[in-house]
Amino acid sequence: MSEFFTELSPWHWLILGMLLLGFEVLGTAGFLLGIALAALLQAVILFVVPDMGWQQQLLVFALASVIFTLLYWKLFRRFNDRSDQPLLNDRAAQLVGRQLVLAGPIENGLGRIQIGDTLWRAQADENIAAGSKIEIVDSQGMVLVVKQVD
Amino acid sequence: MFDLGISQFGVTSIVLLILVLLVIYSGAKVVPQGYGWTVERFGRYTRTLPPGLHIIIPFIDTIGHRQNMMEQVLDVPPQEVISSDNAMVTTDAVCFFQVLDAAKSSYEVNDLYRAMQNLVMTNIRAVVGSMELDQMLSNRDSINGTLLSKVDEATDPWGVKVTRVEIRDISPPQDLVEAMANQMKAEREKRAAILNAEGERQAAIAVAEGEKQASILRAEGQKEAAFREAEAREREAEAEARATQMVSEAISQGNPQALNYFVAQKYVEALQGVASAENSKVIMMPLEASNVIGSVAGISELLNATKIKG
Repeated sequence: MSEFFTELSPWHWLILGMLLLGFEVLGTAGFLLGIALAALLQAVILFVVPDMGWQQQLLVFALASVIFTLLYWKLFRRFNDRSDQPLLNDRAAQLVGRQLVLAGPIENGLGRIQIGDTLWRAQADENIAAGSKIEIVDSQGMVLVVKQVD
Repeated sequence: MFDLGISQFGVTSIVLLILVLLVIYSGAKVVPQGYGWTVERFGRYTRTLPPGLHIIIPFIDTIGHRQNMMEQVLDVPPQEVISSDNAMVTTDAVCFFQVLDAAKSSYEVNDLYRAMQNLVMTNIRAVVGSMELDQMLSNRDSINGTLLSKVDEATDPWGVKVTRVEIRDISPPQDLVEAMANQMKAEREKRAAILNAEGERQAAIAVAEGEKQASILRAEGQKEAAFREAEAREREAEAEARATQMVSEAISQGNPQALNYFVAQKYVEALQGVASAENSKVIMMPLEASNVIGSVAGISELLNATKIKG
């Protein structure tokens, strides 16, 4: 057991890093990426400092894994908002900006509007009579916020 | 400690490594597009993770529900419904819905799919059961509309938008289907019979019309012919009269012996005709042979007269 650890060479770390990257490619959704990078970093460190104890190597590897994962998250988090269709799967948000003619009135700030062949609940600040033109300005969960346009 | 030839520091570092791996595993979350994952902090819902890469705090935050935010199809199994005119029909439906609020659909309702399925089923019973069979079969659109508004209303608190409910099949029992087929057949046969009768009537009218026209035309033709014949007779009479007049004028002005000559000539011609008849060996002589003789006498008179003149 201990022989295995004491004979850790940079090549072992390199192989581990590449194996982890390979598994990541097969789809673990980012979980192994930081760890793989940490393994590669450990390989580099071991090339530079060959007489490192294996316990320290494991510690460095563990800490580097956490740090790399956090860095990776920081780096790629802004990509979360970058999409050519940011409103995908968000029906209500997709409707913002749409203008239509009200079929039924909006009373007490609440009403129902039909878009396509689905009915949506709509709310507005004022009462709007049927037949007037409205615009969807916002969506709050499943309720559309509308206002009258002239 | 276990004596594996490893120092306690070594063991610690191995355990720490394992712990780190677990922490990373539980902290780094990549939510695929089309899903919303709810995060629970000590069991209480805090937020919904949109698609993308996220880090949640290990030990504190856990992923509660992995909610599908795409539009989904819910198959509503076939069920027997009794229509208002007591026909037992089997209907099944399909329902399209989309989760818009992952939190509500995760926590406001226990088993969303079962709940929706039962909701659609009971509503189908309510809507379809209040109709007669014929209405049911021909008003699918209105059934779908009613179902949609009801189910949509009911699923609102669950953060679900129902986009479409469609009755897929309405099948009456076999004997009813046969009865319907018979009814339709009878209807068609009735139409065929009516059309036949209509055709025959038209044909008869056409024939009668034709006959009427024909007889009118025939009568007109006969009338015309009669007119023409009468005219012809008149003309003939006129001609006769004129001829007679001319002859008599000629006689009055000339010698009556000319008349005798003509008569004689005719007699002789007639005799010739009688003699040359092939079908009989008997030579017919005029009954009054003396007349011929008389005419011969007339001829001799003619001769005499010419001699006297000469």
